Amino acid sequence: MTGVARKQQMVSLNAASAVISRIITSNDAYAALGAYAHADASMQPALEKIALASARLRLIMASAPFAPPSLLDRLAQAADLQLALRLAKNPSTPPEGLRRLLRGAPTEPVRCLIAAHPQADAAILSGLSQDGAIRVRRAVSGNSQTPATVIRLLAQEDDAQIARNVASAPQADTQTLHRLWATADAWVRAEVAAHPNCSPNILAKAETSADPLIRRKCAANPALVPEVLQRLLVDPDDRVRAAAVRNPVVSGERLDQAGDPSASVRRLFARRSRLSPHLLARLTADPDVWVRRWIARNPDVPTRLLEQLARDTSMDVRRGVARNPACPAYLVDVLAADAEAWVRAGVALRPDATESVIAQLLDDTDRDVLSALGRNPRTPHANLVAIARHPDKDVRRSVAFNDAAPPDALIVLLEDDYPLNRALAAGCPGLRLWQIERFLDDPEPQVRFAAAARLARATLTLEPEWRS
Amino acid sequence: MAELLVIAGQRGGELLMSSLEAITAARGVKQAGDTLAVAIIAADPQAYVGALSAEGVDEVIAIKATDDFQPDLIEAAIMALAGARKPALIVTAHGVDAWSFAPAAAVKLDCGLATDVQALRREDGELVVTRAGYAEKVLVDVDFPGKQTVLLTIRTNVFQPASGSSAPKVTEMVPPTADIATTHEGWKSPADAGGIDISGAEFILSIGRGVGDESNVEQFLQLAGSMGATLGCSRPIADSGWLPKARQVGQSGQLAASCKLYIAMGVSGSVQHQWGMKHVENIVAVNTDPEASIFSIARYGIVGDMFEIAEELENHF
Repeated sequence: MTGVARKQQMVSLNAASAVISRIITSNDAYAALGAYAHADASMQPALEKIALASARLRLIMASAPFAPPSLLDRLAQAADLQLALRLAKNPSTPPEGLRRLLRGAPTEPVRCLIAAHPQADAAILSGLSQDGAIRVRRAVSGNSQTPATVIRLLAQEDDAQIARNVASAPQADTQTLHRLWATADAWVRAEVAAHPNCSPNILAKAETSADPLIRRKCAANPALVPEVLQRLLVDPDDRVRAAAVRNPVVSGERLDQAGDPSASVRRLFARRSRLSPHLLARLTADPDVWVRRWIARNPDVPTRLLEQLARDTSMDVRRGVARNPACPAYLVDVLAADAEAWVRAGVALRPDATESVIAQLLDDTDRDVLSALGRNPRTPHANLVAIARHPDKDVRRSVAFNDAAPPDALIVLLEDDYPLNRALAAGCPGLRLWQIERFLDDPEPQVRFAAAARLARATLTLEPEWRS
Repeated sequence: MAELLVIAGQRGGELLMSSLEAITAARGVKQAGDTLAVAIIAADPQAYVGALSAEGVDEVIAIKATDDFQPDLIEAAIMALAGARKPALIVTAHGVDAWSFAPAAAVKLDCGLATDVQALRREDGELVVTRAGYAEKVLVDVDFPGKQTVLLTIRTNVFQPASGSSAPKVTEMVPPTADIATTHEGWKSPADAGGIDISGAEFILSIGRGVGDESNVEQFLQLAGSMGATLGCSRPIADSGWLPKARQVGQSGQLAASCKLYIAMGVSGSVQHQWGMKHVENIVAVNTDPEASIFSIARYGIVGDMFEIAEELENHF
């Protein structure tokens, strides 16, 4: 480490220490929680003491998805039934915390929750697959993390719900799926037909099944070969054709059924990329407004067709053009003067809107247009300050989502009457840290949490302000 | 024989529809021999007599004063009418207007008071009303033992607006002297909702963060359209500019006041969102997270991918 780097690190540590000391002095649980994840390990025990000071706070923290995993793991070390239930429900509880809960011989509801937990790892799920309670084993079979070996074992159970879960489990192997195809009911067979690990043998049967549900699910299978998909694209059932058009394996270039009699199928065509020029033109002139709405958003549509869509009588089609990233500047200009505010709002959201378009829209009084300008990084700073002072709290809040918002605008928002606006502003990178510090005393917990998290994060990442 | 009194309201010279709803509410507990009077304060109260002459109305009391909203004047009028007529029941619409005069009048009259009332009935001849309690978690029946007069503010969009016609007596009343403590600065219309009516919709399909990207929103607009639902959304969707703010349900958005069926797809169910919809009788929640808060208030829950469910629904409509 160079001398400069070492000096910077010392400054950072001193600044972090000052901020954490300030938070500790405030004795506020939400501020402590906000700072915890960013604090040095030596400072965490003091913050932990504040955040978990009472039984009520421990219950609140155990349920909070924004609580740091290490704190949740700490709570799991001495969890009673109520804490265990909350921790098992909390998606942020880490695998180690779940293991601690299991070591405490938890009740069946807690085991069910752990079996369904998104952070339960293969070892946890493997252990729970041997559980005596069928509800727990069902939960394991429905967990997308469950490994193939466990899925294979569970598939042997005579239980309809487990069969359904296994048929759609990402790790289900070909052998397991084959067994289910042979033994399970039509609903499970349909799930098998949709599974990417399904064998070609089963897919061949599913493709010609008399049951349209099975053909439909088969048409959605991403492992289908193009020839089979091509046959399903002309299936007599429009729901089967719709599933085939949705299938990501189908190349837009191979689709040529723009004349499909079903509008619902043509709407799906309009959502696909790499469509042929002929198909794009036909869809642009489609009598179904939803087809035109979809095609208006399609970035592959050439300018001359976008021109046509920009003149559409449907406001929603014109809005689609305004949101199309391929919309040329001269059409953006036209749409900026559209009679419908929702179309103008679509233009106001565009990061490529020109200065003149932004200036024109700033005269607008519609709140969706103004909110969109509040988010737009090209809106001039002085106008962002004005938007942050708008009478409508939803319009004011938009400035907090603008990465280019200047401190002047964010300071206005920090004084907002509406707590959510203050909390969002407190987390904005555009604010100076000394401006945030006083919000550690805000009456709203969400504001104190946001301010503490921002301060602690800033000190540890050595933001320039802390170097001087 | 008792008198029932409805305090009607107008805004900028236009009769509030909630006044007709209040008439329906009062008429529902009117017994043989009772009279139903409706009072209106306005610059030209006679202009409202026709609209207020709904079935069951026996008298319209015209108080010629101002079209401005003056809560102290309304409170004084209630006091004067209650003093002179001793009504058994006074009904007005619940809302920010009523908050500024109804509780104050009730205290001064020492009468019974229930706010945000959703239903009225008679039990053994006595008035019993229903309102929500504990942040809409329970329904509470309220009675008023020993009270000669009861003042109720009724929830809007619950009672059908009174219809039919009658030939009520029209009484002109001199406006009472009131100690006016507020100044009416003018009426400000709510933001143009572009024809979107979340508060009036009976069937709402709502989307949340689970929708993922602006390009996916169109799919749910289409689905809502084919199902005959109004598309609503949670705050992050409106904040992102993906749907107009008029579609936002929740504390900083709209109240799904008339909704009978609410399908929440990819909505986690924050407290702020629940504020706008948790009173709905039939809530169907679709979320990949089985522990999402929305399931705690849903009548039916589907743990699953909102796009898969949407595709299945598209196949049925």
